[in-house]
Amino acid sequence: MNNSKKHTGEEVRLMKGNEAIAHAAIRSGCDGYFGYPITPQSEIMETLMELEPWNSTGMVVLQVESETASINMVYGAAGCGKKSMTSSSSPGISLMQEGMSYIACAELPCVVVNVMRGGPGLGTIQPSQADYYQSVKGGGHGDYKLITLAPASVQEMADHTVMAFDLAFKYSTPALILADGVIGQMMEKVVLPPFQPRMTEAEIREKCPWATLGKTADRKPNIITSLSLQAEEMETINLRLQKKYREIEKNEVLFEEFSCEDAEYLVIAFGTSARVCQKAVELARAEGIKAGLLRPITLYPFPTDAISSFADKTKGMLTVEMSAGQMVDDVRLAVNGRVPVEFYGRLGGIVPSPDEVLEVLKTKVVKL
Amino acid sequence: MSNFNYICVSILNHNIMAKIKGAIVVNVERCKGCNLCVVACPSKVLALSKEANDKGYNYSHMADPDSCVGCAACAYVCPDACITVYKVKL
Repeated sequence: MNNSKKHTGEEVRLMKGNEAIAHAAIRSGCDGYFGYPITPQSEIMETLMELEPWNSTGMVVLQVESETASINMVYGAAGCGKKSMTSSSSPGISLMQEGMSYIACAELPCVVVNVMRGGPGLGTIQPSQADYYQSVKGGGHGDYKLITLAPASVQEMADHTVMAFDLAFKYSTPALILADGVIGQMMEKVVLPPFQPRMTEAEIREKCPWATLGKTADRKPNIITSLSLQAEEMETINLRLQKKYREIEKNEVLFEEFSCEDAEYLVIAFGTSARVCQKAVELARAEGIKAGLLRPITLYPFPTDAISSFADKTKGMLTVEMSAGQMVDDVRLAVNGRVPVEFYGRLGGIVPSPDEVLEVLKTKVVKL
Repeated sequence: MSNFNYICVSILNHNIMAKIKGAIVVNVERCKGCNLCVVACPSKVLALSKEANDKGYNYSHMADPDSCVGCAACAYVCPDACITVYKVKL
């Protein structure tokens, strides 16, 4: 999973995951970043401030007074059809939920980066994956979903930033990059995406006819709002959103398999846990246990069909997360009782070791 | 820097059998407390400090400065290049 791209002829850089996001944001033609510092994602804004993109591409980088302000500035920028983004870590993302619900309802594209840390509450600054529910089930109010990407390497931090903008604009919906403290802070080699120029106003008018860039004589005023007091109207909006989400679920599922072809036991993990589990699967294979790893890359849409297809081929599944067990629910729904699904997780900022995972695999899953 | 002066003085005052004495200076604000250097140190010199840096990480420091042999293993494993190693021949 590390560096799926071939490093041929491209400049390979060594940087932190957070720094890769900042570089990739500028290169993807981002118009505005609004953020508030919080460990372990502060390097995103620090790097942007260092790179001074307002002098090169004209991208705005602003440290605002709070997370609530940052998501609402993103809302405003997105309403104008601009590529806007914000980033934070778990407690800050909780503060943004209201704005994210508004943006989802107003059907605007934006990118939010969550570099998860241990919770609940103010928690720790160590890595965690306990924001899974919040991200894929909708952390704010109402029936909405966020396209959720789970990078597992610094390369993917850069690639997913570009992909998140593309998906957000394709479906006019917010996209979330769900990383954690390990990938944000880890230094790894990365090939940065190619430079894309920022969209010109003419391009925005063409691609985003809903954007509030000033009314022209040939159209009605564009209004960006998430308020409709008529229940019938609100139901129509909800049905339109649901139709869009079904479309996303049909087209945008991404996952990665690691030695799954002949696997009798399937380990399912995303992000940092997937890196740990890849090693655990290698150790298991060395001991003659036919284990495989399935790593969801998109958490919403979840690779339900892929996991379901393994239910009849495998004898047991193990979900490993840095939480008390959140994604395991979706895995159990996918297999629908056809195969036992066990769970292993560490909490509050502790990263499990491959040996721990192997032990659990042997005692809880293989002996079933 | 005062910390570094202290280390240098402690090196010079320490006239023992080891031929090379070492000392490290950690870029405290860059350190994320990943613990790799603590594990890598063959002389068990390093530990994570009880103090936290501006980001909140417990940074690496010399808990037992007298035992440092200047091997630079900590600097080699540091993923963020936070550690500068000084060596003095005695």
